Amino acid sequence: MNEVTKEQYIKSLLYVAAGLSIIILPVIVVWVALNGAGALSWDFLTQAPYRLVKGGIYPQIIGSIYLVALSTLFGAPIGLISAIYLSEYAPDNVITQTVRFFTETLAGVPSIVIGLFGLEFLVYELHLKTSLLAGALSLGIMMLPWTIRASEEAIKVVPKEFKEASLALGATKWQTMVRVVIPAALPGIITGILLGMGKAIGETAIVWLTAGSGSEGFVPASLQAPTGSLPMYIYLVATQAAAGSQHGYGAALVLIAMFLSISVSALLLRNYFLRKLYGR
Amino acid sequence: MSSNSRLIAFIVIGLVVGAAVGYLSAGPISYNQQIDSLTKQLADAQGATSTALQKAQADLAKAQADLTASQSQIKALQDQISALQNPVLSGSISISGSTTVQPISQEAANEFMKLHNQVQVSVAGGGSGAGIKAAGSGQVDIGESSRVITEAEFLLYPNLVTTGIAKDSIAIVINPTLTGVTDLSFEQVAKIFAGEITNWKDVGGPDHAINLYTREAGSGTLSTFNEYFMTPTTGPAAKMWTRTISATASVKPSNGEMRTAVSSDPYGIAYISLGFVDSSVKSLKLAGVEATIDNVNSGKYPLQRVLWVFTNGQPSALEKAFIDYLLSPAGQKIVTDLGYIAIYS
Amino acid sequence: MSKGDWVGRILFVCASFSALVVFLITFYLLREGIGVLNWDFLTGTIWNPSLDLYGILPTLVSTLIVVGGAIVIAVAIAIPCAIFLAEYSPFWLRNIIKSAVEVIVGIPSVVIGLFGVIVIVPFIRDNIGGRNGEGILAGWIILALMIIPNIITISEDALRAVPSAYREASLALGATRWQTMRNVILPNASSGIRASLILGVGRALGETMAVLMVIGNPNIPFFPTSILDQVRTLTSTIAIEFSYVTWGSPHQQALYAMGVVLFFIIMVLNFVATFVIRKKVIAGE
Repeated sequence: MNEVTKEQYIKSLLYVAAGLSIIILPVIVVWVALNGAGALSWDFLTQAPYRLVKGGIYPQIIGSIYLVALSTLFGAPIGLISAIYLSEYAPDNVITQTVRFFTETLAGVPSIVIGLFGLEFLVYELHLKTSLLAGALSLGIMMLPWTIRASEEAIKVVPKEFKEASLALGATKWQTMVRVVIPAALPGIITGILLGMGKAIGETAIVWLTAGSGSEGFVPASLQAPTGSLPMYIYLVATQAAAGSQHGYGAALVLIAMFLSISVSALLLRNYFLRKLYGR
Repeated sequence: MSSNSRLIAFIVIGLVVGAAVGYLSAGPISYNQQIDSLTKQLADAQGATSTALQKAQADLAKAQADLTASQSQIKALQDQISALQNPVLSGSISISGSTTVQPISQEAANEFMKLHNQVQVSVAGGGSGAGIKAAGSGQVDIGESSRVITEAEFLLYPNLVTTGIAKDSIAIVINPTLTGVTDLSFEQVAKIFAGEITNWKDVGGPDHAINLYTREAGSGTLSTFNEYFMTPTTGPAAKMWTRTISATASVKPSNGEMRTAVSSDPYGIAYISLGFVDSSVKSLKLAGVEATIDNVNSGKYPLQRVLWVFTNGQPSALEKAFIDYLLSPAGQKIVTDLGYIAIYS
Repeated sequence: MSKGDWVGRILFVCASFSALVVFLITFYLLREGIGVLNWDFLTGTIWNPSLDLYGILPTLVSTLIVVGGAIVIAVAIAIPCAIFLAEYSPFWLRNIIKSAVEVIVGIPSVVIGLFGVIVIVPFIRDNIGGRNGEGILAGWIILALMIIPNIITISEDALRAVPSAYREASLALGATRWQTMRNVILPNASSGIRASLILGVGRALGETMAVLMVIGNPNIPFFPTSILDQVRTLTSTIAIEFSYVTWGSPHQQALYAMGVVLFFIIMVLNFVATFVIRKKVIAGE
């Protein structure tokens, strides 16, 4: 077989492989959507669960929103500030390298280990109890390395000329950072934050250990109250309810919808800003 | 007549007249005296009566005052009682532990929250061991378990205060489509779960391997199952053998997951709380006795256990209110509605 | 002290926060787990907490088998897809697919687990065999599904990062696109691709929920002999047992020690990945 024919074969094989890998996960999404559409109704979205598979998932939806919002409030600013420091202020010494190394390590810590840490440290030692606060802090810890990474990347990509021009005009490092570099890096930063939020909303192991049982019938009234969440609810229904219970699909559909809206916004935002700032 | 005789006559007449007058006036005088004394007596009596009357009146007034005081006390106490019965409770309770008790407390939590809408009750599972640990270490407010707290656990958490809130049993369940198997003896159950009987055909079913399911090590249901079947210390098989659950049994860490596993596996077998038996699984007879609430109550189905809730130390007002609700008729109705047995039966 | 120094100091505190967290986590893990972490623990073959036996070798081996198989399957599908995206696909298609993949990377693992429990496990049970469908094969499929998008995005980036001069030179010499890809681009992108594999393995190792739902979890873990065997992984063991371990008991320490082992493996992998990339960068420049 000569090279040209080989090329044709390979090309078809690659098309097949690509097709396969591209179809697989959307198929799951479509499967959830088709099965879950039947469960969606106004009642489903606004009522509390009753005997796990009756009623609705309102507290779980709100719980997930609270968890993600709170964890972002905690993780995003610290992540951004860390990124500013690492990219701009950090001297090139061992301490910085250690900080960087540990930050990268945090990215690799399995979520159940973060959950265990949250359980023993936040819930037991700090006596936070199984609560919205403990869950949000643990999730925030999980998303730290991602926001740091994304923000650092975004800051690095800002053309040096911006920085140099600003410094040449007499601005301090901090002023340059805040008024010139960060705004220019904003799309990347926001994308990073949104991706962190996307991770947080689907995270189950951490929430399982720190935030609540998943089948709560109420929206948390305070930071100390336990809270339900969509991933926990889905896990409970998937393992404990009779097979084919619609509520599981419905909750999965809502979760995927929320996740997709976050991720797609991240994508669109990034593309929009890229075009706006760099004319690409 | 001489003057002496006239004198004597006057004296005699005078005496007679005097006696007559005296006699005649004695009456009135004595009457008067009597009258006086009677009047005096009457006056005394009247005085006494009026004193007594006054005293009685005073007593009456005092008694009435006491009555009024008691009545207002009663009312105050009644107010307190109704205040206690329907206090404006607020706060949150977190509950975790046995997955057997979980549906009861979850449902009770929902109803309790409707009665007291400033309270939030969250119920998690995790198993009896998890509940004991969580309550004892302060992670949750109320723990629940389907077995008694062991000595070792009491050493670790000596302040646990327990309350029984329902009764329950354990049923051996299989998939409804598995034909030919309806009844097992205690020994057969033990042998199956120990891996000594490995094929359904050995107990009347089709020719296929038996898929075992078991609970995680902290489960109260597992402890009770072991106590009655595997290393029996109670029940009809007590002290007859010692076996351990097969290493290849698949671990499902809750009653719900055990039930789901069996309902989706045509050749599965598991043990679950009686309250969890529903139409998705088929419960087997034990030595000829059907697993029903009546049989458990009468003792014919020889497996009974108490379901417990407990707090670390005496329960707080809010926790006590919830536990009282569980024990109240409304709470016990929830227990029986869900398929368990009321604690008082 | 100028304002700049001030700011620098505050920022340093913030930045060290995440390092502090990692340090705390490591500290906690080690403090709890170190008591049990010894040679017997790592090579013991029996994990039976009720008998106070904590040997993680079967679980460790099972974890590696499950992750290893998943990586093989994922690579077989994802790398060709990455090659397709980098080289063969039209520009518009590439953008669409790349965006879609970047979104799909983060699909919550419970949803994939839901799919696994409801679709994959019964399929295996009814059509392939095994006890009830749960086991290594189910774990492979689920994990592969999860890491394929990761490998696609990173490998595709690595392939496109190869300077176009290489590609053009090869094509100019008369090579076909496949020959170019095979002999020029792939070798150059190999470090990036290897990094993506390592990160994929890291993700698979740390995955808890989806694996927990389909892997079988036998009462006492054993060395698997077939892909239809039910096994445990390090993460599924921790997930099942953490709730009821009594604080301070050897059982709890053993679970933390498992966490340490897991953490250690992933850390080494990440280290290797960054080292590999750095080496490539140094060599390439």
